[in-house]
Amino acid sequence: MILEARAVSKRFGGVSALDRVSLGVREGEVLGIMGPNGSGKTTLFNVLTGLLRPSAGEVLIDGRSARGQPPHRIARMGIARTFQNLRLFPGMTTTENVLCGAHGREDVSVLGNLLPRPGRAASAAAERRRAEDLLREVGLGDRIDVYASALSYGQTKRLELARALNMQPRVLLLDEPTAGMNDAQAAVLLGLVRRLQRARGLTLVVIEHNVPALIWLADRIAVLDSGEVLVDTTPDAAASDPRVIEAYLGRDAVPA
Amino acid sequence: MRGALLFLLAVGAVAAVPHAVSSRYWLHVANLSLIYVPLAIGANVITGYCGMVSMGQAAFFGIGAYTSALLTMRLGVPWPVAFVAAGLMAGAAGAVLALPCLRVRSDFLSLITIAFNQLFLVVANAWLSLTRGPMGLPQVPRMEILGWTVRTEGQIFTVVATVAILCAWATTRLAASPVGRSWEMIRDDEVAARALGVNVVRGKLAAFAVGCTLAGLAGSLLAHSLRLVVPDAFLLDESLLIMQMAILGGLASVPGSVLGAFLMVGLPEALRSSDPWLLTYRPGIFGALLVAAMIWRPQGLLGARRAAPPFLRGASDALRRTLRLSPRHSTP
Repeated sequence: MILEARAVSKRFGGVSALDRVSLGVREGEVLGIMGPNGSGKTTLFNVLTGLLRPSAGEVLIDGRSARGQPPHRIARMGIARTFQNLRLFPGMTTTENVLCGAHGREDVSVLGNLLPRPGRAASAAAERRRAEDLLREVGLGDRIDVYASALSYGQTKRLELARALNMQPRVLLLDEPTAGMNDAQAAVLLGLVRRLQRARGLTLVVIEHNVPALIWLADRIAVLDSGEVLVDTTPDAAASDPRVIEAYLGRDAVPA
Repeated sequence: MRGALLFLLAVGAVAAVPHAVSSRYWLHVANLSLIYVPLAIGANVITGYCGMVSMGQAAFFGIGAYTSALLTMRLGVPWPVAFVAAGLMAGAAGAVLALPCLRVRSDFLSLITIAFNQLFLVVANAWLSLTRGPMGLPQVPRMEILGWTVRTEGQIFTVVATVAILCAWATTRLAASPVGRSWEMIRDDEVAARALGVNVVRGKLAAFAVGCTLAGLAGSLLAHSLRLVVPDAFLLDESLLIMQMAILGGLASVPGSVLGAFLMVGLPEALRSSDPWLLTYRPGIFGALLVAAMIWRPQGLLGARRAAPPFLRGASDALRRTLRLSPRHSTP
């Protein structure tokens, strides 16, 4: 397991958002996570990336405990994410946004950047080319150096994906990549995600409401309900599991 | 190429102005404005680039002035060394002050800086054996660089203009570097910055220390060109003025800070001889201008696109709503 939650619980006051969740993702695998609203999916992402501390249990990266590690350090260990409601930098251009993903491998000391250093210009140019290549790869080749605030909604989703990819992550967590999109747009975006996953051998954890899409994309599906892992199995088995149908559609929908 | 051209232009200007401008008075006005350039740029690093607020820049200005004056007067340290020490001392003081605040929330930092400014004044007034209190330190030695003593206003111009240009150059370079980018990430969205691997506390600390270092350097220039250091030069009003220069001149814009310094120090000073009305009413006039800027141009005159940090966007939108104007920034 590259990234693993082991018996993770998270309580907010009296509310239990996650209850002894154990889930992991192997290298090169696509783990789909579904579950009704409020079932704890985003909370799980926030715990996995260190934004929230688990109330109990722990997160392991490469089998080592990430307990007490701040989010930026977890990010530098190769755990990247996108956000459900996008957190781009609208005042920056598309290229600058993607360059933000390179932060972890750059020299960010004040003195180091003031003093002359051979090769700095060359490495900056290389980072820029890499960012532009990534923009092309996600289909934003004609939006290079455009302000992020000038992009359409679908384009901002692609930009956030390119920025996360520029971290060269070992695991990429996508929080509802198709939220707010119509079916056609969602299909195109998930097609892109799958292409990228195949081409780069990405390890993905994807939260997605669209069940057929997730079955098509994922190698394994975990269903969360009320903070608990209801099912952790193959996509086909998850789709026909009565507990899943019940959680999504209610008891009456379960065929007798 | 553009950089080299600008550099030649700057060198030419620094060399030519003292010869071209014969009036000692106008040189003095220019010098005073130039001393405020590093201060305004420093405030801009803190607010414009990194989105924090310091209401105590005058204290760091003062720490630089006292450090430099005392080192040269008491210990006979050469001015260039005292100048660097002034910057380091102010920067270190800033870092020590900021660290505990930043671990909690950066809002606390703005409150603490006000308190720190007042505390600095109390110490400067009360520690008689070191600072001579309200009497100040008179007869501060002239700047001296490798045997060249800086005497005339024209010579002072050469030094303060050079320092201002170097500070502007260094800040521009930092702003365009990965450090500057991380500051803007922190300013615009801390959660996203963290998720992208930015150590937010470290980034804020660096921005604050750089801003205070620049203020300290300006303090050394002030001490050795006016040749007098008194606590009253570093009042809270002064901190507000420095803040206004950065905001009104233009957030996240180095040329904006230069403009701010000349506008808010040079202009009132220039009008002083004929009629000092602008100097008298400066706080009110620039206060009103700041409110107007909040309504129509929250990023300041030469400010970068969307450089207004969240707290200024909020202030701007609140003012616009009060005036029944539509808010500019959709607050997320």
